[in-house]
Amino acid sequence: MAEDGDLVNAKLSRLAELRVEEMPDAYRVNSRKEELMLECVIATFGSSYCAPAHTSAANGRYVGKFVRHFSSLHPERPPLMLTPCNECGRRKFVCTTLRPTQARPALTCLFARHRSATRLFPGLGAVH
Amino acid sequence: MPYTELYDYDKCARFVAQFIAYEPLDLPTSLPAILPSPATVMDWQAGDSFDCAQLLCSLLLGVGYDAYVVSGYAPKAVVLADQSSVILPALRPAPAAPPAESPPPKKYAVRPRKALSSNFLKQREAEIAAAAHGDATALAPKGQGQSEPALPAADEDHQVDELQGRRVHAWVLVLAGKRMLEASLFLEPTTGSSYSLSSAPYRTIESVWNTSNYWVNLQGPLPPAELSYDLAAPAKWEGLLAESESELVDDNDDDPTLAAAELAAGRAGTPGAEPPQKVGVEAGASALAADRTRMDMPPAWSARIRLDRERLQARCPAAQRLTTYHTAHLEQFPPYSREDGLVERMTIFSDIEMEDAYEVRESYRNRKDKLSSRTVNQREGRTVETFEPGRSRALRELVSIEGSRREFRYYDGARLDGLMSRTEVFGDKTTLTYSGDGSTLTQRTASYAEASPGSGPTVRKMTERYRRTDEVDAEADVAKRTFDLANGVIKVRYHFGQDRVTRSWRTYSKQGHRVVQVDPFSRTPTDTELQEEYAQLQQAERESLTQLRETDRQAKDELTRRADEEAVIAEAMDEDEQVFGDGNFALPRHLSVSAYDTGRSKLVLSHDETEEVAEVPRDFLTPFLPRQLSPEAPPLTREEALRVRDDCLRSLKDRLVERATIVQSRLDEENAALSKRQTTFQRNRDHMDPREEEEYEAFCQEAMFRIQILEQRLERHTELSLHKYAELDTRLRSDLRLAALAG
Repeated sequence: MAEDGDLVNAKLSRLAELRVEEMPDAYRVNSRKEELMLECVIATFGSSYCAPAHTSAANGRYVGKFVRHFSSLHPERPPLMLTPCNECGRRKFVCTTLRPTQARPALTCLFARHRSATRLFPGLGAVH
Repeated sequence: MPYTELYDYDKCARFVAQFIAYEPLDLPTSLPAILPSPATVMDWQAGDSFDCAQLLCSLLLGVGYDAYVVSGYAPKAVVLADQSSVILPALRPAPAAPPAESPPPKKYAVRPRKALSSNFLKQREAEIAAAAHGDATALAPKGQGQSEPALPAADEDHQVDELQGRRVHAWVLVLAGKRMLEASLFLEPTTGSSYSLSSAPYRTIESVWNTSNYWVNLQGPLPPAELSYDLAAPAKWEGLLAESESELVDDNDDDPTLAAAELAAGRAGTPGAEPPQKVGVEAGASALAADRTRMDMPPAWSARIRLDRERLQARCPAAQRLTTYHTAHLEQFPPYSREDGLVERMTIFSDIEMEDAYEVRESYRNRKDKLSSRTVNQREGRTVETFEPGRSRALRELVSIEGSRREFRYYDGARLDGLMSRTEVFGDKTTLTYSGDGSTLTQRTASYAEASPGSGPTVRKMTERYRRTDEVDAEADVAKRTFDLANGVIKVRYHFGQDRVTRSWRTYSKQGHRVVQVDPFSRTPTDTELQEEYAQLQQAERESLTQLRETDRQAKDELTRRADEEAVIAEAMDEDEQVFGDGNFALPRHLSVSAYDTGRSKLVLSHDETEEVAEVPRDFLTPFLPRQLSPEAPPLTREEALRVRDDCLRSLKDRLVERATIVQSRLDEENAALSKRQTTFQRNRDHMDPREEEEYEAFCQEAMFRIQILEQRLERHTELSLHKYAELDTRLRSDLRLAALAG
């Protein structure tokens, strides 16, 4: 285990090295549906329940009776992990952050293997 | 093809724990501000508990488990992934076998005898124990840590954590049902261990989520074991999205579109039966109403998780991983990262301070010598090495206890002589066990006399045991032969006959023979027969001794071979400590590569090719060179080069002359045959008919043709020989290996 001093902002230092412009579009912008979802989430649980606390403008219109409902029911509840920021600083709903994947060799890897195989055995033909 | 290594939940959890370098949260009591996508976490190979849990949950969902990320609170040891109070899984005592059901008491069974003990003595012991108790706590005997594994956990609880119950943590919940999982369980992504719901170390659960919904725990701050995991129950878990259409309808009674949809689906809603705490979706803005009531989860924004096979196999982010358990260290290395093929090393200590290591267990993979594990127990001086099948002489296990005994165990049926094990107690006894498949011999023992100074141990007694052969009469079927070399007595015992309690035996010695026969009706052997048997047994004794020496020699061979193998590996380890770099690894030289491992076997093949190129080519000059030439070896001296050239030229000359001789001899033969035929023809010319004359003409023509060809060939050969000789001479002069000639 590393020392505590190294741990502080280890993630942030990695984020600083990340090139935001090279990330896929989905990382940088929210689709309309995602925006709706976020609004919905914030509306449901209230901005104060969405950690971290600073929220965008979306809470005005949709904070209705549910926020009052939830906050009045559970005023003592600590913030929930609902809409953290992703590596590009964009607020995302946690459920959409999960990506069910059955891990398999990357396609590029297979492609490279095929290329090397064609070099060894020219009869296999090239894939373009 | 998906990775089969990541198909089961335990393997997935272990993979995430090993693959991701765990970093505790900066602020242990608050949620992380940033949650990167699982793909990014996979690329970074580092993350906090939330990152690890998200990644693990993604993988588990991908292979079909009903998995959820859990956000909640955990004790300090879990949050810091500190396993120093956990006993190493390999060291945990095996779960006690279910007690065999005692047979129902029989009416006539003999009652166990009453244990007679003195109450006074018991009382005395109790008093002594009570008196010694105070000292015992202060002076705990060494090694108590092993016998009482629960002790250290209690020790550590003394240190009160000021953040107790407030440390944020994330882990994974897998519910039973899918993938034939029988019981729900928690997976700890930082260590890869799994806990049943009742034995989980976590404190409370705040919320759970996966790709289908987000649920908030409404059951209060209860420990996980007491919670209900019926996520559909609205009083216990508050879902963010409405679970089913009927619930949606409850919240949106006034929405005409939804009511219509609901009717169309033909489902009877239960209006009015609205759950009291249902926090659904408010039909606030009419523009969004339809969308929101129908709100299903947006698709995942994060990219697919990419994982190369190399990285999957390499596992650890650095080329090494060290985990500290209770009185044990566990080091893990990726395969092919070290020259000796070490993948795991357990160091077990006898004390909590981890100073006195008493046992080291190492596991190896892909070794050319097929070594699979080695356990060195320093306290007992015992070394156990196990081997995979495929080693020559089929060695399976080699146990040696320093200074007292050594055991070789072999794979069953893999040896022609059927040897199963060889146990050697130094200076006392050697026991060879056979499978008894090929022959009836099952055991051979040799006892040694006290080693006299100056000579090695001498065999005092040899014993051979044989199994029963059903076809042979038990009276004549040998069960045991004892060769008492010290006293010159040979004893043969036969098998027990059916329903017999005694057996026949015979003793042979120079002084005389003794015969005991169980069957009173069997014939007593005559003196001559006994004498013959004695001679045969003496022969057998000599053969047994030879075989014994042969196995001794083989065992000695095996030991020297093991020592050589280890020496080679140790040398290679000294040369380069770490072969595994970042990404571009070189292949360790002493490890074998499976043909199915395409990436590595390609490396091996290319490695072989380069080796061949580096060698000096073999050609006409090779047989004449005085020694093997290589780029590193010094070049030939002038004398050597001259000798090589002369040898080479003489060899060519001999060859050419030989060929000329062959052609000449053929020519002579042809000439002789022709002249002989001619003389015969001259003599018999008058008595010949025209057919014979024609035949003679044809023969003469053919012979003349052959002679002509041979003459031409000889002429050409003489001409070419000079050319060839000159050519070889120039070639030798220009050859780099004979560069000394020019100087």
